[in-house]
This record gives sequence, structure tokens and C-alpha cells, in this order.
Amino acid sequence: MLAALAVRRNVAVCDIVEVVLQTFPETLAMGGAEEDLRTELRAWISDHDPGPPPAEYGARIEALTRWQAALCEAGFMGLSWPVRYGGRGMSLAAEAVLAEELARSGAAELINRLALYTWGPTLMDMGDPSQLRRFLPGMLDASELWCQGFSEPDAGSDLAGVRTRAEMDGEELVVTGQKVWTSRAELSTWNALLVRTAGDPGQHRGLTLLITNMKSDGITIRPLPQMLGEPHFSEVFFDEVRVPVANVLGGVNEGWRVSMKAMGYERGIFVLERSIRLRRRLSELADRVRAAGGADRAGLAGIGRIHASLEMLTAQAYRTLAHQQAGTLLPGATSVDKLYLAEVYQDLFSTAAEILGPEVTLADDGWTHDLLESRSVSIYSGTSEIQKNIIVGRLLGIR
Amino acid sequence: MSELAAAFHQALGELLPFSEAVERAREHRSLSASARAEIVGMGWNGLMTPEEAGGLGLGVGEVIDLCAVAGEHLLPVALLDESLLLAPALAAAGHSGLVGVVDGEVAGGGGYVTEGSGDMDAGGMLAVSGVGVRLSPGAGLAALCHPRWTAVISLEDPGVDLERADALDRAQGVHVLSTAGVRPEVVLDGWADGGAVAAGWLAGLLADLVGGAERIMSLSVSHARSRNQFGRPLTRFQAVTHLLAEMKARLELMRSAVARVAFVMDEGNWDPAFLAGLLWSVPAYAREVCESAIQVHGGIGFTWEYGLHLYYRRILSLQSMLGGALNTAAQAGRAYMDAG
Repeated sequence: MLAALAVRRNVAVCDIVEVVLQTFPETLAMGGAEEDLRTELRAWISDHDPGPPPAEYGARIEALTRWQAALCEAGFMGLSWPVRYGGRGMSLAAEAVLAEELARSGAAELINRLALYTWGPTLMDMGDPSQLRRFLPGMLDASELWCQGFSEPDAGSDLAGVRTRAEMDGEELVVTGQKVWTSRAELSTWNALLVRTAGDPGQHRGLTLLITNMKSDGITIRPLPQMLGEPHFSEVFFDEVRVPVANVLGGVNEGWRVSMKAMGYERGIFVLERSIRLRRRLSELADRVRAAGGADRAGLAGIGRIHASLEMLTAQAYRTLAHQQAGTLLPGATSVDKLYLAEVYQDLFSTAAEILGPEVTLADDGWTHDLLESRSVSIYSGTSEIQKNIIVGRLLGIR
Repeated sequence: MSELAAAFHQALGELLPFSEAVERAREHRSLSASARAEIVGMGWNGLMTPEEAGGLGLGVGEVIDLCAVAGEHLLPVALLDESLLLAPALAAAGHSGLVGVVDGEVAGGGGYVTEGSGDMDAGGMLAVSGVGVRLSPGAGLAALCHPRWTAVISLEDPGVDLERADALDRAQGVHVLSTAGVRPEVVLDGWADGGAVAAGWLAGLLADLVGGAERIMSLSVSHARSRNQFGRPLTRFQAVTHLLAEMKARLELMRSAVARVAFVMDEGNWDPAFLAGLLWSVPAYAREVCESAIQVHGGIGFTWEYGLHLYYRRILSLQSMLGGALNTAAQAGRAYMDAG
């Protein structure tokens, strides 16, 4: 066909290829190594599956911590991390296999996922050798959990509004201020803490990323019960907390760059994990519908719409991972993933409530919990409105 | 974009100027015989026909790029039906009509038969009613795709009744087909049972929608950049830019999903429930993109001359001919429930 096109225009083939248009994107390909891993994981998980974690929050956290330690012991943590950092040196496709296989177990969630998929890779990019030695091992076996201290009362979506200050004092930085919405603050050893070392609130420059020990003197953690009634996140107060300068990641006043790098890592596996979890919930919904004798056409259409959306979301996550793997992920591209995750999440549980009806949704079971929880997805980690702004600025190039 | 698709993009840009498409639709004119001959002469009708049968034997992953170009340039959809459904169906059955279709001497077309609009009886006779098909001028053969079967019929059969119906998608050769006691020339598996011919064609139609949506997106961004209101460009109004962001997100999701379905089809490892889902989502999202584009453009987007309606008509007609949003969603739900 190409030859026919060239003949038609009486030019050489290479001369007619000058227009560069959008092409269909990459998608994640699972090769032999990934399929071998899948077999290995499936066998191991079927022997060691702890079943669903306890409903009680504290017991659940303990169970999830033990589960990640066991997975690490068996060699399944840090699959995509380089071997020299304690990983297996595999592709991101291997992490996708892990997420998919974990989703088949009772405990799909990795308690230290923030460290494994966001701060571990960021450290490998920007950390110095002593930081890598100090921080990476505890990420893998969940012996040191991580939290992230970005948001403040006056710095939510507007991250540059950070006011928590750190003053240099010899070989230490002295931190004073307040963070809010810090997930799992009370459980964590380390906080990837964004502080202001120069400039004024509202400026991107003058921020510094400080790896702060949450057991330090001067830190007060006050849980903020969510609408779910769980102490999932907290306010954290810093009163002259001393942090070694050696814990600065990426350089003093380089915190904005470090944060943006970390956010780039945040989405790929996370959205895939969530999409798999939502698939599981859809499958449970389908089981309930079958047990009740099937759905009417509107019910089937609702299930079909959610099924289709989850397929779209998974395809999007696979694309993101493929581009992350190849180093070709466009800045801002994962905002599409996050925006759509929130939409599908909320649509799934609203639709489930409609289909299942009050008997189920008024009961104190997981559906009610997830329906409420779904409202958080369009807020955390950058609201849907912020994601749209990023799409406009980064993907459409509108300033 | 592949070299092939980039070259095709340039060729269609010359053969199918947009202003001409606007005029053709106004006058209900089909593609000119010479333009059709040029496109068929490039090998278009043999895209998915195996090389040993005289085609190009392209995989789904290669074909979707070309279909996106076709959608962007508003190539009559009947040509996709001929190339991606009719010819591969004839090839799969070893039917002697294949050569004429690939060479472009026999015109054809195709359409989708929803579960409610007819079926094949136990004796292999086809009875359908009110099925939308797209036909090139002088079509002699039509390929029909039902979830459970794919068939080719001769339009010369006395049991065939055709009525022109181009109220919505003008210049596309849309007809309403009814048959009584027609024996198909070819019968193959349907896509819901893993039929690869029908699945490849459906992937091509979905890619066509992606190409159209890409064009609509870029028109909308250009318009918002250049149009000033209240002393500043539309891109300074967040109400407008958030519409653009939603359009862009839909477009990227469509691209990811169509790339994925093509990839798994070429791997020979695809799930009919996945395809069933996309038959709802891709047309629905293309429609959302186009409706928002008309809104972003304001009055100019509603004019005949500007031509957004050509994309809108194409999307509405494809969506409706696949069964419509509610039916395709319910079909996806049924496929999901059956697979589980």
C-alpha cells in the first residue's frame, strides 16, 4: 500500500512521510519472565494467603504489615527495583502481575505502597548513597512505614502555599509548623515532609523535601476521624523538630522538583491496583445480582457500563506503565488516570447502591463503607479539578 | 503513527478535502468514482485479507492506525465495511467473490445486526428487519455482523429489501435492510463467540471514532485559543478549559482502550466481554467529545459550513447502528455476567 501511495504521488516512500500525528499508544506486554512470575506468585499466594484482614483498624494494619513482610521474605517486594537495591530487576509489567495476583488473594493491599512505588523510586533517582542504604531496606519489608507530609491548612491543592518552616542550625534543620490529612501518620517511621527553607508561601522555590523521623521529639499527632469513622489520617504538629541535614532529599530548596518527580511515580501501579480492586467489587455485585435472580435491562446496562469503564481504566493503566517503563511518559499524562479513577470509583458504588437497593446499602457492610469512601477519590492526591487544570496545561499546552 | 498511516493521511488530505466533504453531504453525493478508485487502488480493500488471497494481510494493530486516519478524513464508512468485514469474510470462506471486492470491481458494504433485529433460522435462512447498512454505490454484496454470526449476502437476492435512509448520516450510503428467506453466501462465527473477522472490523470502527475525536479535539483547542470574548481568549475561562480537559481525557481513554483491544486481538488472546464493553464506551465517549466540541465552538460549531456536524452525524450513526447506548451497555452487562 505504501508503494502504491508513493507511485501515486510520484515520489520516494521516505518523502511522503513527513507528517507526525498522534499514534495509538503503547500498551503493557507480558513476556515469559512475567508469566513465570505469575505462576510462581500464584502458587506461593495459594499456600500463604492470610485471607481478608480483620475489620478493626489496628488489627488490620498489623495483619497487612505481617503480610508485606512475608511477601518480602519470599522475594516478591521490589520486583522492579534494581538488584543492587534489594529488588529483582524486573520490568514494571512484573509489578502489574504482582498487583493482579495479590488482588486474587484476601489481602490485596501493600501497607507500605507509598514507599515501594513513590518514595523508593524517587530516592533511587535523587538520593545519595547513604540515604539509599539507610532507607530502602525498611521500605521493602515494611519494618519502616512511610507517610507523606505535603498538605497544610493553607496548602491543599495549592501546594506552593506550604508554610511549615525549617531553619538551618549547624548540621540540622529545625522544623516548626503543621501538616494535615497525613495518612497513617501514627504508624509511620518516616515522613516525606515538604517544608519551606526560603521564600514566601505561594512560591514554588524555597521548598525542601526532608525525610523526617516521626518518632522525633516535638512531633504531636492528632488523628482526624474521617466520615468513615476510621483514624486513617491525622493532623501533625511540628514544634522545633530537629532533622539532620543528611536527610534532605535532592538538595535544599529543590523540594518542588523532588515532589513533582515523586508524583510522577505515584500513579501507574496505584491506578492499576485500584482498578483491580474495583473489578473484584464488580464481580461481587454480579454474584449478588445472580443470586437475586438476575437484573433488568437498566441493571444490566449499569453493570455493562461499569465493566466497560473498568476495562478502559485498566487499558489506561497498562499504557501508563508501558510508557513509564520506556521513559516516555508525558508530564501530566497520569492526570487522565486519576481523573477517570475517581469517576469510575464513584459510578461503581452509586450504581451498586441503585441495583442492590436499600436492603444491602442500609446494612452495615462493605458496600456502605465503599459508597462513602468513594467521595474521597476525587479529592485525595490532587482533586479532579486540579487534574483538569493539569490536563489543560500539560497535555493541551494551554497556559 | 506508522509510515503507512502517515502516508495515507497525506493522500486522504488531498483526495478528500474537508470542504468537499461538506458539499457532498449538502448534496447527498457519494464519494466520486475516481476518488474511490484511487483509494481502492492503494490496496485499501485488501487491508485485512491474507496476502495469499491477494490482500495486505495487516494485523489489527496496524489497521487501527489507518482507520483512525479514515475517521479523521471522513472516509465513507462503507469502505471500512468492505475492507475489514466483507473482504475478510469472503477470504475466510474461500468465496470466489473476494477478488472482485479487493480489486474494487464489486462494490459492497456492511452493517451490524443487533440481537433484536433478526436472526438466522435453523435451516440457515436469514430473516432480519430494519437493519442499518452502509453501501458503496452499486453495491452487490453486503456483510452483516451479529453477535453470534457473521454473514455475507447478495443484494441481488429477491428476498432482499433495501430502502435509502440518509436522514442522519448523509452521503454515507446508509440504507435500511430487511430480508425474508435469504440464504447467505458465507456464514462465519460471530464476535461474541470469538469470531476474529467480525472482531477486527469492530476494532476498526472504534479506531475510526478515535480518529474523528482527535480531529474534533484539535479543532476545539484551536478555536478556544483564537476566539476572544470579553477581551481575552476562551482559553482564559476555566469553564471552557475544563470542558476541553474532559474531552481530552475521554479521547486518551479511547486511544488506550482501542490500542489495547488491537494488541490482545493480534496476540490471539482477546475476551469478547472486553470488546462488548468497548462497543458501549468508545461510541459514547466519542459522542461526548463531539457534543462538548459543539458547545465550545458556540454558534460557529452549529453551522453547516464549519462541518462539526459531519463528525457528529458519523458518531451518532455508528452508535445507533451498533444498537445505541442503552443496548450496547446492556449487552456488555450480559456479556460480563455470562463470562463470570
